[in-house]
Amino acid sequence: MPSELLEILNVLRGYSVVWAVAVIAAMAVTAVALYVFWDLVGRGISLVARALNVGQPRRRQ
Amino acid sequence: MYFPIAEVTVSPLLLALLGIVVGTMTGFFGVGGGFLITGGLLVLGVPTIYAVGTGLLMVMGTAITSTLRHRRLGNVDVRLAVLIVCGTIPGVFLGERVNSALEEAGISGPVVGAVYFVLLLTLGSLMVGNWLRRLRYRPARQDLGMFPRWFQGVRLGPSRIAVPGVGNVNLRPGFANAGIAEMSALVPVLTGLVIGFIAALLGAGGGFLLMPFLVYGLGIPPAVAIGTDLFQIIITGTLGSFLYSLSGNVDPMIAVIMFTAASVGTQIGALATRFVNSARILGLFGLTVLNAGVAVGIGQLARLIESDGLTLIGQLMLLGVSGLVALTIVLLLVIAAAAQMRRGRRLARLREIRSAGRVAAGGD
Repeated sequence: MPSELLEILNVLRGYSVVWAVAVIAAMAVTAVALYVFWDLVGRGISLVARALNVGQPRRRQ
Repeated sequence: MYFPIAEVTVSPLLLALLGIVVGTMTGFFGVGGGFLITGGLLVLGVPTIYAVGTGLLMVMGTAITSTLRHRRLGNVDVRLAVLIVCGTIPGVFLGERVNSALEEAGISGPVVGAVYFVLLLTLGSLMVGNWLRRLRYRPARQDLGMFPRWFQGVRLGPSRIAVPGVGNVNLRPGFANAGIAEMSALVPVLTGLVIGFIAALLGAGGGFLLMPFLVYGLGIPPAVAIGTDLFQIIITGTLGSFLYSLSGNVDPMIAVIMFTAASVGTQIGALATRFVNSARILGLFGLTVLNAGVAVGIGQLARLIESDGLTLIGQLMLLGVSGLVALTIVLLLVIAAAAQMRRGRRLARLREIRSAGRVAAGGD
């Protein structure tokens, strides 16, 4: 890990509320970003699957 | 790789592997996977308080992603979820305080390990037992079972209270989405309190406890139980990770590595649910829970007697068996997709033959 980043993390940790909010916000942003990324990938896969006649979903019981 | 916040050296590959396994099972079975994350981090040698805090942060991320995916399904009984959350919030505060006190006393590791061990073994045995019974006997849909009858019928406190300015408030409301005609409001509140306490103590979202309770305890349909459970996990995870972050007991680097890897597994698991009926292999999930319990027990014993061999056995058991279950899900997905592809090709060929036949008939 770069020493500058480590230093920023250590400074942030000193301010407990700011640190806690930053940690929660970072995870929430990562979660939304990954959701959007995989949603786009999923749409791409669906297009390919439709072209190959794959993916007629089974109904869950 | 050295993680300076948790002050521990863990292979990022092992973290990513654990993330993928957890993600696959989360996507497939619809639970947060917190029991596996914290249990896995404990086995990988992360200090208990960091394993708990980091586990909660990752559970929060997983719950947000899953909820975004489930948002269109409408599988949430909002009234039930809000009542559960009313109990969860004080439960989480209480659990975090107790864990911090245990940490100060230097007994957090053994206590958390022991509670995990007992809970996972009990739940795993119940789930495997229930699965085996269902293989032999499928109960009628109308048969609620002993626990749902009791929980829905139990009378806790008054049926109504008069609130100034609001009027009479019904304390035995119905829960339409959950299919419950009438139940004391205190049942979900107390459930939330217990789940929140245990979740914050163990660093899990509580899904592995709430999900079975909603299905087997309250008799709620599994789809609604998953949606309601996810709603509760977001609150538990966010509140829990905020409290642990305040004390500096969360390592976001570990969480982000695992979460990014888990997102790959979540997609695989979610995709598999389109092809494979998860209810048929719920027993596998029960076995994973049982195995995680034994692995945590072995990990704790290894710490106690400082045995590297036992630590390795614990790691192999947790990652090995969970990995095998995840691999089974992937294999089932590949087999089902291949079968569908063959069926699609056969249909396309049939259509070609039919259209060729029509052309030939028209030509005659």
